[in-house]
Amino acid sequence: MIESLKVIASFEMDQQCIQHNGEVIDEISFTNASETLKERYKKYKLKYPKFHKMDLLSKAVILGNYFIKKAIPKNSTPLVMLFNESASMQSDLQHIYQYNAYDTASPGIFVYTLPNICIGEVCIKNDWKSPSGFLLFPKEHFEKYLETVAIEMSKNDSEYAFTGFVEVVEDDIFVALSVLQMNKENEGLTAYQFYKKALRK
Amino acid sequence: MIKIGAFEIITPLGASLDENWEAIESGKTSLQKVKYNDKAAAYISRFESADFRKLIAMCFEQMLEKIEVDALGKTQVIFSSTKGAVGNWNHYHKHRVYEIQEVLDLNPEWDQAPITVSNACISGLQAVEFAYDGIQFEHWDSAIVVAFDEVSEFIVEGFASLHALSKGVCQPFSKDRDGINIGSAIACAVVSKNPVFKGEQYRIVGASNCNDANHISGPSRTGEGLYRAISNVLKKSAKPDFISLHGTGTPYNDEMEAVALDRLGLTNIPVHSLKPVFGHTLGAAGLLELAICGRMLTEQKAVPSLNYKKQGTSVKLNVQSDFGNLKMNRILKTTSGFGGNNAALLIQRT
Repeated sequence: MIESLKVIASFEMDQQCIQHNGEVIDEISFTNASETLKERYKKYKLKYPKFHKMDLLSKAVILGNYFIKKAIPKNSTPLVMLFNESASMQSDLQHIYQYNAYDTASPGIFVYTLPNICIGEVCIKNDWKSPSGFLLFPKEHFEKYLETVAIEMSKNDSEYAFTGFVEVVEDDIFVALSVLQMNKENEGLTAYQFYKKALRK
Repeated sequence: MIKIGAFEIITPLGASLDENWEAIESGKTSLQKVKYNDKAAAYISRFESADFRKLIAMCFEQMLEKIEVDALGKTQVIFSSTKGAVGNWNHYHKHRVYEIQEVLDLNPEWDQAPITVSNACISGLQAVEFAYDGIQFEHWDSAIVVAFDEVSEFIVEGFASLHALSKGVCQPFSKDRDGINIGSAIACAVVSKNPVFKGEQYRIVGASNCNDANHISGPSRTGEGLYRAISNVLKKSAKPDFISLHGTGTPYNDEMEAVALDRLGLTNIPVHSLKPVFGHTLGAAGLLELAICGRMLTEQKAVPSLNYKKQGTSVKLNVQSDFGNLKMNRILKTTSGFGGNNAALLIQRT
């Protein structure tokens, strides 16, 4: 069933560059993810003030959304499913530091100590009242992730899915997002091919 | 027919579903007042000096005894947790939620890539939804679901900063409700189309989840996501005879659920929240509470909603006040969570 998932738009970001639909559109020259995302927000004129309060996972997803969202027709509600290995680790460590150092936690940090909040953020921005879920897998199990996506697309009769791997590790980000379409007729990159290459597996 | 069964749970109230059910019959709660830092206390449900991972392994083994393992067929393992079984918090940065598989005796013939759902408080129920969907779309014959979360300073400090902790035992749907309690729990179950169950088993009629697309930590005022999730489930079913709600005891959550039920015309149906019994067990909640719903169907007894005093929602709900006989064929379980999630699942007596 995962063979019938085709990529119709993609966004990749790591320490070197940003790729949109497989083409490098931006070179990265900043030292950390936080700076990089802030500068990209300005460069691409995202104009979404909520961005600044978000954690890095959410910022990365909102940035990717800017590029790939238009592949989904306006009246369509896509399945939204993302995955990574370490869940909300970056925010978790900030939260732990916060309540240890300052005797109380910060609500603005705590709300992001769940990996699925980035899904909430993109659903809010796009008004997608979607079936959604955040899953955890080691990168090498990406096929199982795609299998779960395929099952949920069938179950919900979703023609489109907003999917991907979004990971933040020690201030570095690694993002591979794509819009998938079920049963798209013509030749094109399959979800399997895209993620195998993007995740270097 | 796709069924769920072999429910097993371990909570501070008891080391098995049977023990927990007995405690519920006696009206007990696992919540106790605990000091969590120098200045503050909260009612929390936690295991006293127990190795959480060992308890998960124990629950898993007890669950396996309730099925014919040889009859499972193609089997998928699905975990559900928001924070995982962390073990040593000093090594938290190396921790991966799915490493729990290392302490479980997973059959090598089962699929080698477990699915881990980490979708806030709907995770436990959503794990069952994925198990069911995978069988329906013929990806596997059976799925083993293991849901777990434990109280930690991390979680308590976090909810305290949101002013979301109750000063006492939570009071879902009540006028004076003031917040949540956190609890630890482990729940396991098997979902299957094969004749694997030695004992209790219930038909899964439908399951659905929907995002509010409204706010990351507050529910939609119109209960849109929950309304849609329940509507989807009820497309395939007659109305439920009982609804086990999420009922965390916060002003917003409980009101949202009442609004959603009102929109659906379901406010006459008896409801409860199990949060005053177990606390909010996060990634375990959906499956833990579904296990109790299963036992309710078997025993034909309704579990009450503890601590309900005066109507506190804009629409009146039929809040179950006593533990007593109730004829039930179908129970609807709902959960909602941070990130705008809402899930609903309906089980039926077989």
